[in-house]
Amino acid sequence: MKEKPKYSLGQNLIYLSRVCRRETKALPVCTAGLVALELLNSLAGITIGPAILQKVEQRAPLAQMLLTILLYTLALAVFAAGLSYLRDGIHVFRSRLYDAFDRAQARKAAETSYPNTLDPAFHRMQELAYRVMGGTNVQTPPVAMVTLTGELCTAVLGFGLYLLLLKGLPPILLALVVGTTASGFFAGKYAGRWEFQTREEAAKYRYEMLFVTNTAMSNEMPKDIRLFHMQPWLMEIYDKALGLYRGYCGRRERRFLGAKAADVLLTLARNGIAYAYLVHTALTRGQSASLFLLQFSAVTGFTVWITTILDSLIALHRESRKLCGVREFLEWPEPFRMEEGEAVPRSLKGYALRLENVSFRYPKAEKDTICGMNLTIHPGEKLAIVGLNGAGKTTLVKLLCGLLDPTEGRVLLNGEDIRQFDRRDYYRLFTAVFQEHSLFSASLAANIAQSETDIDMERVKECVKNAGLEETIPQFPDGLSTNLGKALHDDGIELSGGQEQRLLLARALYKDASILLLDEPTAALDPIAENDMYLRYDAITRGRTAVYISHRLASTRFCDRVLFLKDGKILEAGTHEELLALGGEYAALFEVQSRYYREGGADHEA
Amino acid sequence: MKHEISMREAISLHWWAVRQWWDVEPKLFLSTCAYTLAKHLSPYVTIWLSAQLINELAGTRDPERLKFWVLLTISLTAALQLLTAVLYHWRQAVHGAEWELENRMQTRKMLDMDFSTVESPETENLLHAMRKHMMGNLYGFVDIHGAFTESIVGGCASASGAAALTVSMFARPVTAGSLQWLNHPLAAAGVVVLLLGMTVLSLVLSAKASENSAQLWPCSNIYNRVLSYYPNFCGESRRAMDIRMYEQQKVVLPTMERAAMYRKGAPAIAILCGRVAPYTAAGRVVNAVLTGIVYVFVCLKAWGGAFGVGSVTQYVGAVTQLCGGLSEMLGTIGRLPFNAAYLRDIRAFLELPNHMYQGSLPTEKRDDREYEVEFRDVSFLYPGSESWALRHVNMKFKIGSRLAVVGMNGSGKTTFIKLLCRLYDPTEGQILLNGIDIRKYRYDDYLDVFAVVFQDFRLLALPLGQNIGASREYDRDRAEDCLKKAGFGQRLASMGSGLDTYLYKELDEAGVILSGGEAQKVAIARALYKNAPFLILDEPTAALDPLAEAEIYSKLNEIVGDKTAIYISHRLSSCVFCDEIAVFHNGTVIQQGTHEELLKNRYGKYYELWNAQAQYYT
Repeated sequence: MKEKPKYSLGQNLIYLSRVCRRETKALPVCTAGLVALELLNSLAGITIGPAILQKVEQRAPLAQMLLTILLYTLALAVFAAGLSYLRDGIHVFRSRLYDAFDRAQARKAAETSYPNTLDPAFHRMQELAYRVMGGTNVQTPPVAMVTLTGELCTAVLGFGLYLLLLKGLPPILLALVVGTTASGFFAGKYAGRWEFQTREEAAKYRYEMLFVTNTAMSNEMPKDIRLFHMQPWLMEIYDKALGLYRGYCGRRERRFLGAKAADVLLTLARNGIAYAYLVHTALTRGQSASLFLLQFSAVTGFTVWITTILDSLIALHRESRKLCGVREFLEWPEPFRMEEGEAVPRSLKGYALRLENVSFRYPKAEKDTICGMNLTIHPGEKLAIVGLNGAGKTTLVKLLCGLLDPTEGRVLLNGEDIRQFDRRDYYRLFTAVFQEHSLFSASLAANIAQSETDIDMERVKECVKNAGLEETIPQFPDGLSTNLGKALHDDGIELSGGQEQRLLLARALYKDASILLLDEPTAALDPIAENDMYLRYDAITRGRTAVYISHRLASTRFCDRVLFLKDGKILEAGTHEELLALGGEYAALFEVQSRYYREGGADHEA
Repeated sequence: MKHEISMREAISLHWWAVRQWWDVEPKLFLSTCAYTLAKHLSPYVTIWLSAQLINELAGTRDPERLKFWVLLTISLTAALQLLTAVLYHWRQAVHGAEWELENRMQTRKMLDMDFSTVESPETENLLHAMRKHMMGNLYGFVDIHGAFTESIVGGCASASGAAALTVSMFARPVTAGSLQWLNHPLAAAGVVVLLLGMTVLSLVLSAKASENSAQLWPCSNIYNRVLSYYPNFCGESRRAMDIRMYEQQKVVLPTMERAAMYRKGAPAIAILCGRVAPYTAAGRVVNAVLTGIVYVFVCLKAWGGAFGVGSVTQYVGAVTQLCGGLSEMLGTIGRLPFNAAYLRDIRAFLELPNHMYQGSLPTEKRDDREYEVEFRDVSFLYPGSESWALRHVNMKFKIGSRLAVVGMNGSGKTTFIKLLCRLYDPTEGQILLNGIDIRKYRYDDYLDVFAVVFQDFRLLALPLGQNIGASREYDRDRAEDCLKKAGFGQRLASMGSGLDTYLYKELDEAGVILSGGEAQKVAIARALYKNAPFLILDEPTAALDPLAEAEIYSKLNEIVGDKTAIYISHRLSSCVFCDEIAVFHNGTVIQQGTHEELLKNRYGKYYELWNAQAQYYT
């Protein structure tokens, strides 16, 4: 079940050092400083007691004793202050390393080829990488690995240092100390492994509770909850999961307690032997009490170093494995050409789009969504695409604008295969209004101009006017500077469905690209607003190449040509009138939609 | 950030919080207290025992006595460690679900609130403020039975333990002549004052550091918000197309860079390195000096012959423990007003009042479904809004009739439904059921009269059957029957686990994904299962294509049966079926009648609405 990670710990450390060199050189330097200060601090801390006691024990001159205290106090003050300052300050650099990864992830998610975003494997990796990089930045693998490397170095050096302090001790005693410590440690790990193995059980209970909480807190649910009396149902689910989770916590702690008890017994054995040996040597060799204190403290400190070494090594491996997920996401292969592709040659005469024997099948699907389609869209042509849900309308549009590449066949722009182009440059030819859209939590103007800094306000105002928003905007507290959404701005506003449609239209107008793609909104617009949108679409597409997905057949008559899609094929094509005259499926569908309007209006017309 | 909470209010808020948790689970406190006492007192036992051992080593070195002390030390230490471990894991077991217990309180409250309270700006503000506190780490409700209790109890335990071990430090007199002045009570008092002063100084410094770190809060606030917004934004599937067509990364990435808390030249760096870290570091210096002072005093006395070497370790250990415990406790007390900011919000949230009057009259269970509803001069203002959402609405429904409600967006249609289902109470006027003001009925009883498919209905990612019954226990035959009536029969037959199939994949990998149209059918089935005399459908076919839409409409009569049905729809073709149509405009009913009647008025709103759509089809 355990997969071998893609990169070894060493490879990941080298990778991290390269990222640090690029993003924040100071982080490794500060970490090294922390290592040095930790060691000095611990050395001063363990020797202060015995050193001063020695003076007391030997009844050294008063001044000498006070001087020792003074020196130690000074040293401890300096080390502690330095450590504290560095521990605070290093956050600056840790944060920079974290931010670099966070931005890289956001960039990858935003820039990856569109088909990747439909690939469940990519999604899983993205989710994993996001989860791993979530939480406080110190806990994320890149930052944690730098910190842990520092801790490991400190512990290894500290181990060596204490070995020097304990050099009088017989090796067998040291081996015993190492052995008991390591056994206690692994007993703890064993219990921890149980928690790891059962983590999905725990996650399941917690997820169920979270699900109920989110349901209760959601903006969309409260009406349904009240009208259908869902409260007892939801609380029952919560309480059942809570009971199981508390039971789980109890079982988990009993396991940990068992391990801890074993550790206590081992400590008992170790301390007993160390005490016996040290007291014995103190008696037989006549060593001082302060030396006894030093050695005993060193034995205790020694065990701490051993535990730290083991702990940080295990943690490093764990974090390294997590980092592999992040790297795999960031390095996920890209099927599309981006910067390395050719620039799209600009043409003043407009662009002809051609599908040549195009078939498309979604990964793991059983049949093609688009089958062997041939289609030419001439510059300046207005094309409507109609069909039932699932006929392939949206997929066809995605193929045209290069969000998807055909499984078979080619998509040609003025006769050239679009696959050779820089895909991002190709996208610049299009402006689109899709059903699924993306607006920022930023000002309305920024959302229209798609920029926070470079906004042509005159043009924004013109687009607002043409989209029919000019009377709406002044109603908002700051006009066009009003922020959208509360995610980033406490004073952000929410738009109604109709206002949102118009904002999307204004944004499309602002981009002013050669080819317009419109997926007609199915959102509930009232008849008058709906009609107004049709007329605006008609006005703005005049003289432009436009492809229009139509759900209500009412709008097709604005178009030069209507394609009726069924099962991924163009079943009928022609103008609205031609298709009605043909009397095929398009005409039948139109009949279904129009029946009641005609019958309903009949008495009145008559 | 100003924290205008007085110490007095802070204490009362904390006391409130303690009571809340005590009611939830007293063991939360008991386990913390027991563990804290063991943890804070057992070091003193070890300190005292090793002091005896060292004293013996530095003194007569009697092997028998040494053996006794060694055995006592290691066995007692082990016993105490074991006790502490038992108490620790008990505490962990009890506290394992602490967040879930807190969330339970919030969830329960959210479910018990009136709908109008849920939607009120006050609730939204409180929830928002609570989230902000969590992001700013000023978060301390769950800490009440954890860190808070621990530092108070631990501080007291440390103080009493240390006091017991240090009394003798002052009591034992110095014998050496030159240091006799140490025996003077003033010397002891001086040392105590000095130590207290240092402890207070270190507290002042750390308070200053945390006060200054509050200046970081605005920086971290925007940073955290951007951080929790934009990376997810980039990964959201529904945004994927727009992001690419509009190159939105060109907005996202620079914004993330600008918001980065510690980017080069950011003000947060100066605050952290200039105003926070130095104070924390200075606090450490004070602590080191404090230890030095203790050493000087104790060693001078030992040097003067007051006690042995071992006692030096005992006193130094005890005094440093004491200062640590004291400063932890005082620090916690000093932070009370800070911590109380969150407590104040969560208390306000948990104590949000329900304003709706709850009547006691049961609704009649009538088999003949003779229910009559009347709106009598009803007006309604949304809380915090200044314009009327409904104004002087008068309406009476005929039993068993089909009513269509039409009008432009924002004309008051949905508000009308919300008032009818008593999600809100009218601001003016009254709504009557069988001639009695609906406020006089028992609320739950009244809601049973209605089954609604809201436009923004949601199904839960739980088994299909439970969704239909809105309960864990439900009538399977009836659920199946309702699904068939709603046109979901075929799809149900294709589901492996039938009614036990989970919807969506959130809670079960094997769950099914429903298309918009399928979800709508399930929602209709859920409404049918309720078998209420009134069936209300708000845009029931929005997500459907023309054929599916026609299918639903053709079956509506069969689905509705003898119930009273109310439709809200923008597809006016559906109005043709209805016995009566009410046209809403700017919050009032401006036209009412049958389709034919309304269409006759060429200047009426209905004609305008109808024509806007019909022009394309005729």
